[in-house]
Amino acid sequence: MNINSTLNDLRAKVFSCEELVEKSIKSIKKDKLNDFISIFEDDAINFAKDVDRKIENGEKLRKLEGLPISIKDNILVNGKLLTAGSKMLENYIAPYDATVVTDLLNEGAIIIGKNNMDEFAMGSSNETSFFGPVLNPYDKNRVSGGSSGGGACAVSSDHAVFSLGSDTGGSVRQPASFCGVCGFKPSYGRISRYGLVSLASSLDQIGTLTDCVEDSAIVFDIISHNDKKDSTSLNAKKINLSTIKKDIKDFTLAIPKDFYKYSIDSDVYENFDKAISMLRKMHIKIEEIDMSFSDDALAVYYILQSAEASSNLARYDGLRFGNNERAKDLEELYIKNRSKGFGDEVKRRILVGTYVLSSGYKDAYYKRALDVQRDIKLRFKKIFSSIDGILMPTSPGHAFKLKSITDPLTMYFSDIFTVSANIAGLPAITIPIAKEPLPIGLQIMGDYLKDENVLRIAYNIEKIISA
Amino acid sequence: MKIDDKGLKNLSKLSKLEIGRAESRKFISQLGNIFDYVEKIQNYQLSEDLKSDDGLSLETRRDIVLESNKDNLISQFSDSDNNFLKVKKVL
Repeated sequence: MNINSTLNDLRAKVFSCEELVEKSIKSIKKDKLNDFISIFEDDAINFAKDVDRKIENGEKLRKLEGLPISIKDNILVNGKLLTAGSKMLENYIAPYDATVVTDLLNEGAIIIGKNNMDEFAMGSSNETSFFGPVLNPYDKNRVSGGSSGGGACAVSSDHAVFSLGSDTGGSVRQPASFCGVCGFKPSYGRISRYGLVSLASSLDQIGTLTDCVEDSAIVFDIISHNDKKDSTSLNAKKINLSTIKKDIKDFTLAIPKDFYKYSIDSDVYENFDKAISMLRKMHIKIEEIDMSFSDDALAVYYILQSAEASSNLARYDGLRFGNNERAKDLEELYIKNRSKGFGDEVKRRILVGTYVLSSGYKDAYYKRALDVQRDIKLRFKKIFSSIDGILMPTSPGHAFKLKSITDPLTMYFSDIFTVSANIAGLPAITIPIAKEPLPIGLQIMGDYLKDENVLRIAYNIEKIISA
Repeated sequence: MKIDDKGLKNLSKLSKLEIGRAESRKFISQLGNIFDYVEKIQNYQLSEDLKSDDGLSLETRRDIVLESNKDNLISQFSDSDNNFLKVKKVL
């Protein structure tokens, strides 16, 4: 389902909004992919009936009016359960709407539920969710990717027209790649984080999971604006939706010459190579660049992200958030609640973060990581002075089997191609270049705040590949 | 960088987490591997240009201790008793 065709069908009364929403909810229940933590069936049906009345009366519809959509369960929807995939928040009710939720509701979107996710967005397979893993729609024995696996699965399975996720190190793009949909992480600051549960505030960015690049652009256009409630939100120029459909004959693209050194699945390699050959045949300029710092970017990522996570998650103490374990004093109350409320991956990252911020190691790890991060930003600045976009596989592999990766470090390597964009705050999108037998994604990364260029390159490549 | 039982105990205390004996062995091995991996940034060669003003520096506020007025602070809280802030009983 894509935005424009669904809206056209609604307006032409090919089906009613109520039928559309009912079909989505029925298929969520029937497919049993575990992509939703909560479903707002009654609310959604009531909203749908209102939309049908509007259509019947010939009233003007808003940009997303009547579209069933879903939201990752770390983004607040007023009055609804918000778990962030954790036992710690299994009964937490959101007290307000995130800015992005307000934006979508203002355009008439119907939120049908909240998507399953890795606990506090820490994971690359959705297996760290307290509510169980999301299954891959192409093969139920495989993972959906993570941490926004629920949203990627929902869009891929036509459970929702689009979904919002969050991307701290690849959490929108990697599951999008595993489930065969588009996943867009805009430049840091382009979308308000107000109402997003913080993992690593300097890296977190809300992103879109959609059926096609045009949908990513439509949703991005609605939710990207300055927001006074988020001090990191930018006042950047809006994108021009018609510009993304222009050709890219004047653009220069590049592939990192060193990514072949990583262990890449043969089908990922072959499909990526095939896509590059197709682009070259269309006379698109493709150069080679040095991105040998990808390994270091991953190390920087796991230092900065863990440091910020350990600080952000200090608030989960069993008092303000979390369940109330009985204890003899405050210290014991904190320890009991945190130990029972958090899963292993969250505990691991809190421990790593506490270590790299501890007085003896702060300079060697945290401050050093900040220096390397600045250097990586500088290198990207130089790279983008002569090219417009970097192409690479989104992940070194396709969706792996459930429970097949038990070593955390091996799991972290599935983000090797995505973390650099977060470290440097750059926009990046993944588009499917193969769907059978398992989906494979191609990632396009662009210069800071050149989100429009990234969407334009992706739109053109999508068109060439699907031709 | 290897971590031992004592190190993990110290870290878990700072993190306000209880790591059971069975979990300890697993965490020691996994954290050791993660620390070994992130250690690689020590060998990263920073560009010469980084020393110049590249506009990429992270500007942070200086940490300066300022005098505060205790009475003023307490008066802003919803309830107090004899210079203590009163909160709902949790234990």
